[in-house]
Amino acid sequence: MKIIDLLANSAAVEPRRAAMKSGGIEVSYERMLSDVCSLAGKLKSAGCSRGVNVGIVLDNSVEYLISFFAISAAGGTILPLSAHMTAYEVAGFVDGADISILITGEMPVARQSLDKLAGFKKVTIVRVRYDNKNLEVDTSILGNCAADEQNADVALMVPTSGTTGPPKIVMLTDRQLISNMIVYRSLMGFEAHNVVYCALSFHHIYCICAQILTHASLADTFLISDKPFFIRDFLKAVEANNVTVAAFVPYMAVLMAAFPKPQMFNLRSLRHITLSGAKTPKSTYRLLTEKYKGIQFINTYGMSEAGSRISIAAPSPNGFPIESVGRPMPSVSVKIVDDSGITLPPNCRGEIMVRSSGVMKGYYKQHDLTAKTIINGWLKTGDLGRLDDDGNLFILGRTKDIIISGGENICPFEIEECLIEHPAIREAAVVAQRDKLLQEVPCAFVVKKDTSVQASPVDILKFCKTRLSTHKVPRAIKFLEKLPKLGTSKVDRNALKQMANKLP
Amino acid sequence: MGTNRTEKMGRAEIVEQICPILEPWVSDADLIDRISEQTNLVTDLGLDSIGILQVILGIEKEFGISIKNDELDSETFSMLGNLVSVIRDKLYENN
Repeated sequence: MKIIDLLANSAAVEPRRAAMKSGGIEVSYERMLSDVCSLAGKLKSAGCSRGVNVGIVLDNSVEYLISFFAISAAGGTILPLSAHMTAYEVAGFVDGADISILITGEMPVARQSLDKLAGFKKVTIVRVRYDNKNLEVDTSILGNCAADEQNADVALMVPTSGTTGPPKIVMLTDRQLISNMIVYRSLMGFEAHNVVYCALSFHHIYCICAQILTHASLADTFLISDKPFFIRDFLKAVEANNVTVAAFVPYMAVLMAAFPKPQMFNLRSLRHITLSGAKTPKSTYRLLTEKYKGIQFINTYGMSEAGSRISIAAPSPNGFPIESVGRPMPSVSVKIVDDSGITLPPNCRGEIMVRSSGVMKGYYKQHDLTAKTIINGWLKTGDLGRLDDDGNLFILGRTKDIIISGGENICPFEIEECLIEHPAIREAAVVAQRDKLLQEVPCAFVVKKDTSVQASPVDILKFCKTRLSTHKVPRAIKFLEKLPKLGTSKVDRNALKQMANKLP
Repeated sequence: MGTNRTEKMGRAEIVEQICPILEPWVSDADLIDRISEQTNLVTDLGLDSIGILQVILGIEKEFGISIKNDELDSETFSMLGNLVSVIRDKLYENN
């Protein structure tokens, strides 16, 4: 079974049901499948086939979901990128992930990025636009498609953040994704005819698994907003469209808990909101359950490499301890190990290891890294946790230096590399600074070069913004005479974290 | 920082004061130069959800006001002019 079959089955069973609603547009499952097939035909004509990597640079939109399924239908590998990436970042993925075709639209930001990009790389650009109920496709074939036979079975490639080196790209097959989704779907016990509020960006693995694949397979309706996230918009949309389910990252939950008068809106249709991406604060969770009686807030834990759900605090009569992320799904084995890889008994803190049919095929073109990450079939998550006597999983921290801001994983090394390219900077270190809303934000410590090049923190921020997506741009730039070191070379990140948290 | 002045700020003055807050979150500096009350922060400047949160925090700090999240939705936030009205109302709501 392939990703496209999930949609084809739903279109066969519920042809007239609305698949997507966005702005004034409503598209039925039958229509969506027909648009998907039409785009797939054009992708094939442009050279798309098994083992060809196709990037999507689009905002959340009707066009996005059509493109997602069309790539699968054309036999290619879906590589979802964010529409808010800079040209620099998109170019990095075009090279690093061997993208042959990029699907994009008319948004000013992506257009600007791709115009710059087209000059130095021969990728085929496919622009899609849903206009007046018709899908318009404009293809500029600029180069030949390269098919990677070794990865012909890969359905989806998802960029993820490493602590060092360039971003890693996780390869997942149809079987891995669909087997994981089926178990997740059955544990959630969805009723029929859901209206799904899409608050997360479609390129997020949590959204791909918990929303796109799950609800397309159930012939549910996606309510798509291309606007930034505001709680008031969400609550209005629930009332106006009888939304039944949503998926949030913690900052959205924090905003929802703080919303002063939710009783202004009729939220009776809303059954559950799943929470993932990072740990939702206990106080937020309590407030949500007190304020929004009748809505279930369900903690889940997953990661791209696990393809993607690992555990969920699924609806159950006994409930779960507030801070746990529930029990591992029945198809997933979880163990906690110490530094030497020895399995620890319940209630001991250690690294979380995962084994399941959903675990990735590997990192794209990084065999050594894959071998270090999947050991005897067990995936090293890099997350610290513990299992209690009842098998509930608790996340306690991370072994890696990744920063998680507003549910987005950020690699500090990527920001440091960008900073060092600034002519006035000799050394840079980026650490997580605590933030009330986003939980963590990147904070940069830099050492200036002994040159005449002058740069203020604002100049440096502007420089970062030309290369990095918004969430990666440091919240603060602090100049130091030298970076604190452990021994001769290793930067003392803990010392910097403490300094960052003392900043106003 | 907060503002502490006896004279009321004009709308243009508020726009001028918002520009440096927006600047770090906008990739193309030319866009900032062309900013007006009709500028759409999302479609013209390309701000995403996280960028918007940062800008709101920046505005709260700069103007010494507090914007609750039930006062903001995508319509209020999309046009810079609407945001200027929110800031003005907050600054001078008691006089």
